[in-house]
Amino acid sequence: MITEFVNQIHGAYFGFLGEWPTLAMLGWNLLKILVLTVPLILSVAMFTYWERKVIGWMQVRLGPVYIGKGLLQPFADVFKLLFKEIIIPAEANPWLFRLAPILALAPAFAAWAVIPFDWQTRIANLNAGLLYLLAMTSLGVYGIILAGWASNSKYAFLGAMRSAAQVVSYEISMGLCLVGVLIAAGSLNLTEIVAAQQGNLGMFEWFMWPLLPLFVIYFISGVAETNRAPFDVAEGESEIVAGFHVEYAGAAFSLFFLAEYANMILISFLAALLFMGGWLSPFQGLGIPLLSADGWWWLFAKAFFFAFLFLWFRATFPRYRYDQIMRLGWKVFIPLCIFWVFVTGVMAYAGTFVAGA
Amino acid sequence: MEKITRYLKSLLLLELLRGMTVTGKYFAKPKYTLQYPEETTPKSNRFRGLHALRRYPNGEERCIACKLCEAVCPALAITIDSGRAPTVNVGPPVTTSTCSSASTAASARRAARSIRSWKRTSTNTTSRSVAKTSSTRPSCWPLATVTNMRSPGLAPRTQHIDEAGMTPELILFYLFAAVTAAAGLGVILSRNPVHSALCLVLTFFSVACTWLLIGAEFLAISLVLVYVGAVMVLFLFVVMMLDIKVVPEREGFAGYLPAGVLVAVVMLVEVLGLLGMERMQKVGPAIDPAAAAGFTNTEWIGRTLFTDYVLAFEVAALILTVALIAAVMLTLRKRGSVRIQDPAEQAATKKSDRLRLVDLPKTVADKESGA
Amino acid sequence: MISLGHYLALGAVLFCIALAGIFINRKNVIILLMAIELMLLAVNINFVAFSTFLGDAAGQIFVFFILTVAAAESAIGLAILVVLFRNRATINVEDLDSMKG
Repeated sequence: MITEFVNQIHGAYFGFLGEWPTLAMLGWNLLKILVLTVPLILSVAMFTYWERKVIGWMQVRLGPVYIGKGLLQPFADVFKLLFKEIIIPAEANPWLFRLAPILALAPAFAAWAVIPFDWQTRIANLNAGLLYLLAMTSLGVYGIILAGWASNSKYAFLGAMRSAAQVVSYEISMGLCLVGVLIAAGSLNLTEIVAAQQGNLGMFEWFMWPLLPLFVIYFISGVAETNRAPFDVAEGESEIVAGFHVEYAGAAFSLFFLAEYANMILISFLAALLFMGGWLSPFQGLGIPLLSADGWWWLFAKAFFFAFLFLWFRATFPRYRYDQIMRLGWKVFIPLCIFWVFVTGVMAYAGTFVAGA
Repeated sequence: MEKITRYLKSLLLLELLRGMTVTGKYFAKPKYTLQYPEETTPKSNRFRGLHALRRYPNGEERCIACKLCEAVCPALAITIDSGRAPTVNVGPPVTTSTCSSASTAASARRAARSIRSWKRTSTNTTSRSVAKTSSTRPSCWPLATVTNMRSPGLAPRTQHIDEAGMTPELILFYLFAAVTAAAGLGVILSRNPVHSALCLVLTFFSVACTWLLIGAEFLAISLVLVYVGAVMVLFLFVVMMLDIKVVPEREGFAGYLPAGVLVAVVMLVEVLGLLGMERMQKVGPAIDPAAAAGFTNTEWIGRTLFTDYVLAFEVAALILTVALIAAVMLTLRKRGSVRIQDPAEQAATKKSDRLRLVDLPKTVADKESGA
Repeated sequence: MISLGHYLALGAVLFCIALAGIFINRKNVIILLMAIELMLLAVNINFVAFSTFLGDAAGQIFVFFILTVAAAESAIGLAILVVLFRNRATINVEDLDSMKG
């Protein structure tokens, strides 16, 4: 039904602009990007609200309750941030200082281009989608490094260095987890990866069962990659004030904020797509009337669960020390990943992934 | 054996899960927070209200300064100064029954209302104005076009346009090429190594874009992944960590500039002259070789790589391993003066390693008291 | 249409820029390393273009290997640079003329 609706709009649009095909294509793509980013920004806003609520509840508090019963609190915050003055330190590198938040935000949003929400709903169907995602997530570190360096502040620089080393290290274990997934699915295309998790056994067809260690490592690496608690040494308040964005205020700071939360939601969606069957129902193939239908609502429910895990971690665990983080990444995760990639290879050779788990 | 069980326990994240169950339990528990101005706790029986000075309808004070209330107040909260108006110190809310019984002229009485009646009027109005501006709700259905599932990621080539004309692809190519050249110049000309490194990032990125134009999808993305994502981060890291002075490095700039430009220009003219030859123009237009073979670009490279070039692939892996070890060995240094923690050892520490319970004989205490 | 010539010209321009860069920045090792990366990139452009326009996978495979080796090279180069800076407190090529360790 919605597909037909989109088709109608598409037809009308191209009928109107049919004489300039290049221009029409450009406009259509812009429209698609807009349709993706606006809800994304709104969901980031609601995610900050949900974060404060969840952490509040876990600490036996209430969280925000006043502005619009608390629901409008994120919007109030956004307006406050937007109207604040942007302060640029006197000795900062002016251009890089302004460039850094944009460099942090752009890859966080660009990565969403290949995320499929359904069999047909996506912006771009890249064949090397998984590689593209890895590339985009690894670009986010530039915003952090530049912010730290351009601020010309010791705290910011320390935070940036910590964050850069951490992100680069955890990218390796994350990449190895993705290698496991692509061995199992036999494709780099995200839609085909989800298609490879189809079957008649419900949720037991998902990759999370044969790839359980990779699944866990992937998600923990994702938490580390987004610099979230308990791996948030990049902004450790107790020792380096706020890390790489100490010197930022107002709208520039809010861009960093937006990038961080967009990345968290991205990691949640990816975990759902790669390991938990994306939009496939957990009861797929079992023939239960309403529950067995696949659809985007399953994907959103799974992604919501992972996003909730991010907050749960933050409410539960104390911050790691820096050398402990590095040890975990290099000495525990990477060897485990390599071992399980090998196991996955053996499983693929034995034909585990042909029919189903 | 105990070591193995401990290891397995930490591997299965049991401790972390236990921590999460604790917070999970509190997540669902009723909250103790009291929304103070809106809600209040039940009042104590001894609470008699706040002090207030009562007046007659015509505005005259009812207090005759008999000072009885001042005398009887156990908290010394009331001071009556007969010359001026009586002041009631509203500080400690311990108004007791004695106060009310003492107030013969009803000077101090229980105030039924408390601070609770204070309304958050100002915040209410702001929240309403916020609500008006942000009435759009997040939609759960990001629309997108319906594309064929199997269609390749790149836009289909626009074949129908005349070959000599400026196709959109050609315009894009010129754009990317211009950015590449400009960023390349930026690399060699900027005074600050950080700027050079960033320009190099831009160069890599735009070259990757030109590769995408001719369908070398896999290599374009790997270029971004390997170079922009890892190698250039390393460069930036080193440039920033080594506190390199910008200016002194540029002393010979003017001296070498003519020679450098001359050599570069001569080479460029030679190469471009070669390219201008008739034969070079005859190499056919790009028909995606991968698509011709019926694969995607990634599959095409993969198949060739793991059949014809397997040995070279393994050698490349070996080279990377050697480079990894070499880089670590070169930069690793153990300074004697620094004390280094071993996190594994710390994490494996048990109570018995650090704590020793000793039975002290009673006589020791006696000795100490004696001394 | 984009032709092979376009890509080869881009590669040539980039290579010459890198060459000029080596001449101009003879003293700063970091810029030298970056110029070398630029040269390799120019070579890679040619390989990819030839591979696509001639329909032979070998070119793209070779780019893959060049990427590997170049990554290894820059990692070791930077490691040497760090050690150098630690010992001599300079990365100026002209100051590195002593044979004593």
